[in-house]
Amino acid sequence: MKVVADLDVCIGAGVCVLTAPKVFDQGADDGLVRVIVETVPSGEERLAREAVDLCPSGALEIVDED
Amino acid sequence: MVAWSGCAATELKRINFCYRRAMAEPVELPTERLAPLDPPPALRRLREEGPVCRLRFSDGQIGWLVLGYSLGRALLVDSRFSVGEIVQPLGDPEVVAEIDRIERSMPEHKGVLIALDPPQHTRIRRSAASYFTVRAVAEREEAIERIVAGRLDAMEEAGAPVDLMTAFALPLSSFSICEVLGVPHADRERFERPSAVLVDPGADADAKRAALVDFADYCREVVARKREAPGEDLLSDLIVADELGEDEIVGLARQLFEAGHETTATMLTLSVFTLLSERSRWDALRADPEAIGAAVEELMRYLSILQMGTFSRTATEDVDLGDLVVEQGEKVVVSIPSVNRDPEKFADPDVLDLGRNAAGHLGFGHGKHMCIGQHLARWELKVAIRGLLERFPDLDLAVPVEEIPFFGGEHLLYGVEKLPVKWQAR
Repeated sequence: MKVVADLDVCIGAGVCVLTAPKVFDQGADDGLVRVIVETVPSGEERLAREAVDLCPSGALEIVDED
Repeated sequence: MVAWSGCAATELKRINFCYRRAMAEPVELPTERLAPLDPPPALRRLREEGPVCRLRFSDGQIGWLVLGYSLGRALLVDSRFSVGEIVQPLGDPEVVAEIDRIERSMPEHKGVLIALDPPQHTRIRRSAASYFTVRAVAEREEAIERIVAGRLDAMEEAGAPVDLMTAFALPLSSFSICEVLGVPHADRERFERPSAVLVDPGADADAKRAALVDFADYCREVVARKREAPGEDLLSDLIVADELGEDEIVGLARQLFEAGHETTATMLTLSVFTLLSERSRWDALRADPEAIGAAVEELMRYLSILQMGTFSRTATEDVDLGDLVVEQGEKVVVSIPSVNRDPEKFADPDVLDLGRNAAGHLGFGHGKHMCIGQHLARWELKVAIRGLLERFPDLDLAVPVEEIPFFGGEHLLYGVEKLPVKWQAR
């Protein structure tokens, strides 16, 4: 499973980092989302999905669902 | 063919539902509560009839009140809604309209996030986003602890009983936002006073106009001070970065001061009341301080202090959201207390369960206007509750529950005006 972020949409609310800190981070300079793993590690899928669902700006998307 | 006609029948049924809903008699936003910590029971009755109903705004225009969780979330992320002209479900419509008009005529209006749509909103919100990230705020933990410790010391020195709002919650929220924006703690009066007038449903248009001017003057003065002697803070960095105009920085500063203290203070005071009014809750957190983080989320959901709901949104075109068909120009408000008690999202929603996973609550709103300071608020609430538990494990209400004065009604927020508390001196 992979997650992609649309930086043109992200507002840097940080809900994803709060929800799945092993998958997402925020840039120190702009506060916008960074997907820090190429593939979501096993065991983190549920939280990653929750983070995608909770994103207030709709900037996250799951691609490559296994 | 069978599948198609089934589908058409469902669609017809839906259109019929939406039509009947649109034709139904509008309600006024219910505010009457039977229990201090539960939303008005009428909200629940309305939600049981459907996720949205017709609402009469205080100026008489008819719009919509969203009561269901999933519809509320769908609406708040939908870019076809603008913040537009603000109307309120309650309050003197002339005062609301006059203040909205004055605000829009002020130059710093172009920096007030809650009043902006993209692309201006995006540009300004992003300029400040890096100061409110999960990590940036976590790095402030020590600073927040220092502020909390200072207030706890002051409480001990004053001796019981004290009013937790004035002795603890309000100053610590104000001091926290002072530090982010880089102004001395002593400035708190300058932004607390006008903010209080602006949200006071009893204040008339003249008082609010004066408060707006005072507030803008103060923010302009702060920005001038920073320009003269930049420090290490959000406002100085914005000035140095030179990406926002002067008016935008002033407006953003106003928004951050305004949204950054009273909400958190109200939430904190009501949270402490909630914990103390049923001692087992307080004792449970005392026994397990690790649980405070989850408890704060659940308190945000359960208490939903934004009782009047989100600011109104205006449909910029006809929008079909399934359960709701909105015509261009119609206004919609999402009831935060209702959506956060929607049983379709939260099991046993009327039970305060400090151990539950309350993630996804809309206590900080949702969509592009979701609270920019949410992580800061979380830290403040966590550190403050932890501090009280450690310093005053026997903290208790100093008056009977019936004597605690609650406010709500036409106020944007719901909370306690005063919370007299006591403890045994050691």
